[in-house]
Amino acid sequence: MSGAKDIILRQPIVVCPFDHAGCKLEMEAIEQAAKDAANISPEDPMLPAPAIVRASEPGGLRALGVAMVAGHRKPLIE
Amino acid sequence: MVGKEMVLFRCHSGRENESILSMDLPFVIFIPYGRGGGEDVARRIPPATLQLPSRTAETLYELVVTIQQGHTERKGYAFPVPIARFDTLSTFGMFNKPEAAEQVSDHLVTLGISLPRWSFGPLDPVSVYIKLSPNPDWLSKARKVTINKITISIEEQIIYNHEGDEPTTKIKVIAKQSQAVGVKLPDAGYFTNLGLVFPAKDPRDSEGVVPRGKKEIPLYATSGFTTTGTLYKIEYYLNVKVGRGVCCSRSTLTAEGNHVGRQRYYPSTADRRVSF
Repeated sequence: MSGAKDIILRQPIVVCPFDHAGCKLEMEAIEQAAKDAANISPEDPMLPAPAIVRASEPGGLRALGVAMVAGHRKPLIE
Repeated sequence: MVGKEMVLFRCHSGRENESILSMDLPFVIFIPYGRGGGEDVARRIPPATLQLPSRTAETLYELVVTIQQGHTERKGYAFPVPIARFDTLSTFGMFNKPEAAEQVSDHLVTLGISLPRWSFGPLDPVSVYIKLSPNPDWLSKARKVTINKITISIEEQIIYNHEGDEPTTKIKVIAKQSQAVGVKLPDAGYFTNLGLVFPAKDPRDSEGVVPRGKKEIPLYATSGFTTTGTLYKIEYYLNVKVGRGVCCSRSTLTAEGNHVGRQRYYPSTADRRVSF
């Protein structure tokens, strides 16, 4: 019996980059994110329309808060 | 590549460029999520941002904006985007139900363990309930078994190129705790609890300063955690070893007032104890 072997048990575990307290802090945000994501469809994410201001547009500079005064760019004052 | 490349703006047809004062182009990138199997690479959930020490493995993400002018000029602008995954959080119920396992040796002794929870982060306590029970059919033999030492350790296993033809595996013991026992196995079995603190990498440099994390790789992503990328895979194991240690059937006696001084004493095989 002197040849009895060591008993070795190898149990897989999971390692998380955050400690337990950190994980607790994330729980609420995860729940909220899941709720928010549930309403978004990849086919139609309902994005706001792009806002593009072309130089040719009248009042284009105005959108940047700039006005042309006697050939110079000046900050726009209402 | 994560998600699909998308065109956010194109000049009016027939024109090579347009003079623009400002642009606000909302977009959403859907991170792929696949369930089960993971056969289809395109549907795989991207692995978390990670950089192992000495950069033996690294995963990082960038949001790339490409601006093309005319037919030739193409400029890319990259913005770092760290990705964290929240699927291994130790607060999830699935990791908080006890996990049990058993291992038999020589049909004499059964080693049973129970882990109350099995997801751990830096500096989290790891505790394991250990039970050694004799085989009731071999009690007389099992009584001769001596439990010398119980060791628990946490092993980090990194498999590089795990999907390729020549994967290489690196195993590192990152934490270890031993308990000297030195008792014969009682008929009712032997029970104990062993624990250790899951190791954490000290982020401070030689001058005690915590470096500011890089934009691409946050500080928490600079030591290993359970993850699988296309070129590497990191797994962890809790090892419990019930060991033989130093054989206790031999002892050295010192005889006083004797010129010989030392004399070895070998017990007969009859009272020699079987030890693990």
